[in-house]
Amino acid sequence: MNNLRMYQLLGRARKGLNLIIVGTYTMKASGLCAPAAAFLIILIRWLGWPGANFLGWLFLTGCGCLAGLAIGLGYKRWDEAAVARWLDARFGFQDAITAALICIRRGCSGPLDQGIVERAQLVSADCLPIKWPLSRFYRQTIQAALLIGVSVLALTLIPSRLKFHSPTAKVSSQITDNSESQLESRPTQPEMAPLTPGEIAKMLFSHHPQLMIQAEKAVMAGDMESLRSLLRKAMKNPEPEYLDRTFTASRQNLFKDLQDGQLIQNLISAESMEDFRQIVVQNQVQQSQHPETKGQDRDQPARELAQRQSKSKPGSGKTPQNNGNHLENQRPEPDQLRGLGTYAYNSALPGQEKGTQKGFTTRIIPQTGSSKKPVILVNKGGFFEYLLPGKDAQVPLAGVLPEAAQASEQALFTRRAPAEYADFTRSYFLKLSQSIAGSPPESEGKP
Amino acid sequence: MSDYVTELTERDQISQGYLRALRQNIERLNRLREQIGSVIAGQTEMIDLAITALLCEGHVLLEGVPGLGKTLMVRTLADSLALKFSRIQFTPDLLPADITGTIIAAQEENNRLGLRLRFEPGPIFANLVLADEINRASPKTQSALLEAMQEQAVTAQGQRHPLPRPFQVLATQNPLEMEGTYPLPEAQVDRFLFKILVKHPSEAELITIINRTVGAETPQVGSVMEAEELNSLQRAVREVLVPPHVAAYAARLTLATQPEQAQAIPAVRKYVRYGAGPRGAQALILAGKARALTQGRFNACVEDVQQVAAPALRHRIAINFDGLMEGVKVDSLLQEIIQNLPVEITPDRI
Repeated sequence: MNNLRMYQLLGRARKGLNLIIVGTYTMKASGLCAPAAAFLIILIRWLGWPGANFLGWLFLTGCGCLAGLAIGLGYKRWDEAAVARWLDARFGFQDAITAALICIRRGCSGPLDQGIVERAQLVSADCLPIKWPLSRFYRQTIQAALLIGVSVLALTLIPSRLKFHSPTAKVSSQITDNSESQLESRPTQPEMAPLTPGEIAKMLFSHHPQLMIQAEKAVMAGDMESLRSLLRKAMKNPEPEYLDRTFTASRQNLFKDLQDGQLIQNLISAESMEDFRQIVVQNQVQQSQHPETKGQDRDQPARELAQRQSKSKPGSGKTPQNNGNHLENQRPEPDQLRGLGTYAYNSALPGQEKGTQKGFTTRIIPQTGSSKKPVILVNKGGFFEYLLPGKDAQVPLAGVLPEAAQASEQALFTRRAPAEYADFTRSYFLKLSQSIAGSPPESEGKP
Repeated sequence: MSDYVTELTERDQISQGYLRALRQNIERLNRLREQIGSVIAGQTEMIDLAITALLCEGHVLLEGVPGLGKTLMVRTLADSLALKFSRIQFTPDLLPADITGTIIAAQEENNRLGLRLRFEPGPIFANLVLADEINRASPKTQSALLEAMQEQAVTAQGQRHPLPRPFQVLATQNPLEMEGTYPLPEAQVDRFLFKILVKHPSEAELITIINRTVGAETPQVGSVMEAEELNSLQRAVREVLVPPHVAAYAARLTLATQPEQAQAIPAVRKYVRYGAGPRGAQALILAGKARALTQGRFNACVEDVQQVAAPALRHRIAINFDGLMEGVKVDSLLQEIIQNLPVEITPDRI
């Protein structure tokens, strides 16, 4: 009687079977976790939350794989009795191995135990080599491989399409279809629209009317020292409660930019400043004659400046349009556009009266052929808006909007833009897209 | 240390000698089967089950129409084993004392005048008892027989008279001509280890029967096994190892025949009035052990239990009225139960 041979057989079978079980569970868990992780990553990216990328999917899938490994190692491992029963069932030994194991464990104390062990040794010679039950393992492996492949494919393909179906750019695909014929050649150099002194003053001191007026005058006068003193004064005052930290942080960044005065100098050229002064003098005279209109549109000098600059260059093909009730801004010439991106801010913040306190309204006119059509109405909500650097507002909106939407989504995704503005940003681009989609398509050719 | 080795060696030698003797007895058992088969054409299942029941010291209820070789099989079995055989033809007027024995006043030897009451054993005092058409006797007589079967003894005037060992009753009953019969109560049927349905022979078997029985010579059998050897085998049956999962399977199989149990299949819930009890589980395991031993194995397996399930359980399951109306057979129900009952070979199938 050689019990060692029996234990060797059981040990070898146990090792192989447990390996198969562990592998099967690992493959099963990986196959389940891979699509789940891919779905999660895609959902997160669709929602615009940060931290969702291929590495995240890899991490989650790896966690699932490890979980399956742990289950296989700890929970489902077979003991010798189970292996003996498997061998009996597998080879039709009529429970000879199981009975022999029982006899060996009890020291062969029974009168028939030796006969049982001898028979087990006889029949165990037939189970070499063992044909391992790998079908389930293969099936799980194939399923896992397919699911992982599909997940990788989905992660590769869906996010690029995701922006066309996400709330941020739901209508962007429609715009793209109609906008190819409207695209103009874009300037290679970044071009920025200047800010009017009134806009700068609004941005800096929107909640301090007195400081805002003083800042507007300081900007128009080019008195940077006065502007800095006003800034220091404003920094000492506490912010209103309804301004969240994002707004405060944004304005502090702007403070930093304005501290060296470079931004003002970049935004407002010396020639424009002289024109501003003239317009302001004219407006002051008009306001003194019509006191009821005082303070309703303090950006009018800037817009008149823009009109004047446009009229002074008749060959540019960028003719402003005045519909009477609204002043319209038009982009200046590229040589006047430089510097950083354009900030626009409306003083009608949430919680304030939107109807009575009108905000600054800008209408950008596309220049495609001879037709002129307002394509963008901005600053209805009263938030900071960032027009992308290098994007000329005179380029048709349909050509800019998808890229802008993508850039804003990317900014939200990478937390360069506050996550609190995600909903607003999406709704903003959605409204713009709807307004463009609702307008009749351009029939004219490119200029 | 040397004492331990010596003890182990002696134990090994004893075990080897016991195993050698046991294997010889198993060989004799195979010869017994062949010898009975040389007399009775076909009916191999009946012969195997009768031998299995003999090893289990269990009683057998044979059900079949007359002329299928039931009595011949029992007589051949007794002749082959050199056992005392008796036959009781049950009739309605048969009394219990006609079976178990009676008290008589008998004159003692060397004493002409003195009479003494003594117990005269009945035909039940034999190794193999054929109770022919047991359902024709009155319930009182049936009860006397079944009580003796259960107790392995007869009590008369407060004195207990043990029955000879081995003792086995093979009762027959005719499924036809049920008029004027007394069907055995369920409680008494439960005391039989097996209920064997004797089937009609096939064409080839019938030809063999004709050739064997209508000639000038009838086959004769000799003794191939002594009573002591049979007793040794009967003791060895009790030593056969039953792995835990086999015992669990037998228990689940028994419970699956009960309509109120969770293991019961829908057909059992619908058609069964009551199922097998603990005696059924005992019969399954014991018969499984005996079957393993007859095949030269010293451990029972699930297959053994499955093979003996029908004869061991069919008379312990009562079909309700719906089942009787729809002609449901107990054997088909048992087959369905076995097919649906998981063996649970491994904790997690791979």
